[in-house]
Amino acid sequence: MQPVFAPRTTRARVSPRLAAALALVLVPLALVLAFVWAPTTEIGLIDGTSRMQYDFPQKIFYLHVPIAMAAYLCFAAGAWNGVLYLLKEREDYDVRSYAGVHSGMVFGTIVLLTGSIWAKVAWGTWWQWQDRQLLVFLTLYLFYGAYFVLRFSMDAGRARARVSAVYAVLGVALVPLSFLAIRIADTLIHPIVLTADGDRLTGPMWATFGLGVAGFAAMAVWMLQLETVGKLRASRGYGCDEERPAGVEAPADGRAKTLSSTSGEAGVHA
Amino acid sequence: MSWLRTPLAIAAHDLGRELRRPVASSAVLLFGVSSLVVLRVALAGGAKPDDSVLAGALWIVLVFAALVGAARAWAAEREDGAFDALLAAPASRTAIHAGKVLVALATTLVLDAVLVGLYLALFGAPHGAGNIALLLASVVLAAGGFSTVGVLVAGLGLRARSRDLLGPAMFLPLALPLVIAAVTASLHAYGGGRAEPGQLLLFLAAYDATFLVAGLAAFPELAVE
Repeated sequence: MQPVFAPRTTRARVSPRLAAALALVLVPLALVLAFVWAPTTEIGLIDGTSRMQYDFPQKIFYLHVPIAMAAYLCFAAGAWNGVLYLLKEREDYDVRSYAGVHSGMVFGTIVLLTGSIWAKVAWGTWWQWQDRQLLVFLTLYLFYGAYFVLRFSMDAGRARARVSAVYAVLGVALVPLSFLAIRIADTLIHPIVLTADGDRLTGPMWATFGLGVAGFAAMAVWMLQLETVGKLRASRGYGCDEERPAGVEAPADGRAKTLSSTSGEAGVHA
Repeated sequence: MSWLRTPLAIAAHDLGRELRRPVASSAVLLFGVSSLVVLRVALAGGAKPDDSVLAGALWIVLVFAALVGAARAWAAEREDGAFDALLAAPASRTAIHAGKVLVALATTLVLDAVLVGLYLALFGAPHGAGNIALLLASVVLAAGGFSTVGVLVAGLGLRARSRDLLGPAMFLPLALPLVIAAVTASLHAYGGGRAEPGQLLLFLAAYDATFLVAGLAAFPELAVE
């Protein structure tokens, strides 16, 4: 049997099994602790005039914020692998960059949904346009949404990989600029839980929040690994012309093969 | 100094062509002027709109005029098939990008001068020289941002199939931080908002510098033959 093209670059840097195990344990644990153990507190708005006590809605904090962090982690992974692609021009970095942006969009969708639920309960509206923190996340979401249109409006190959990489990296400039724009603009109503003067979280709240962050970070890593390996398998010859890099031919018989035939090299079995 | 020759040559060439046959800039200008008139008629039924609407109306027109202008950044080279020839020329690609930014900046500033003049006539000027200066400074700095982002986005879409649709999808999210700061500055000029004007102008300058550097760094990566 002819060995499948699967260079060392498909080897996972973080074990996907470990990431999966952590995600499957920590995320449910954080959710259970959020509802049965972590107390609620008053949340002050940034203008310093409003402090409100939320009970049930506050539980969304343990879901919403860690998922937002996971989204940023994925976008950062997309940008970092974009940089690596531009430096080394290895196709696995292109796929990793794509996977980062794609996973970030998945988490981003959940962030917008959970944020809207919070807004409806706390503010009585599904979306608050005066809240520029929401607007910034929406900006980033729309920006990376255009990544897919750009990527899939070009034929697979070096030019597409380079353009995609540059676009993914541009998000790095957009995030700080967006946050800066918020800070100097004067309308903000987003609840600020962690402030420069110290946080308002108690010990159990911190523990639950930390578990949630760790759990969703592990889930992000797991998703990145799964998608990267899947895309690389597809691009290296198995029925997905869209992702096949230039210079790699599809097998003539079109049979599905698995990376297990190169188990020593692949190391990842999604 | 030799590096500067290329951007200046590109700017002289493109602006000279635009002066001889101002088809594209006339179209963008007409679009902007028509948009202002439509906004004036549509907003508040012809009555004087409130401050936030005033601040927003200007930026709606400037953003969309910049968007239409940005789509033209590489249009001549694409239509003539001259893009690959330009890349093959013995010139630095960062210098080529800088030349295109210069062209975009010059055309955007001229366009904005006409549009802002008409805007002030139709909607009314802010009270006080300081507020007018703040409004104009924000327009000039934003023109820099629109130019740098517009040329960058046009470069990203150079080899894409549906680049005309892609342009706005990429441009608008990138321009949003700029619009937030510029609208806030205009709102301040019209007597609303609590933001610090100096910080807003500094932010706009930082935005321009960021995307100028990003474009200069990115274009050599995008311009693969």
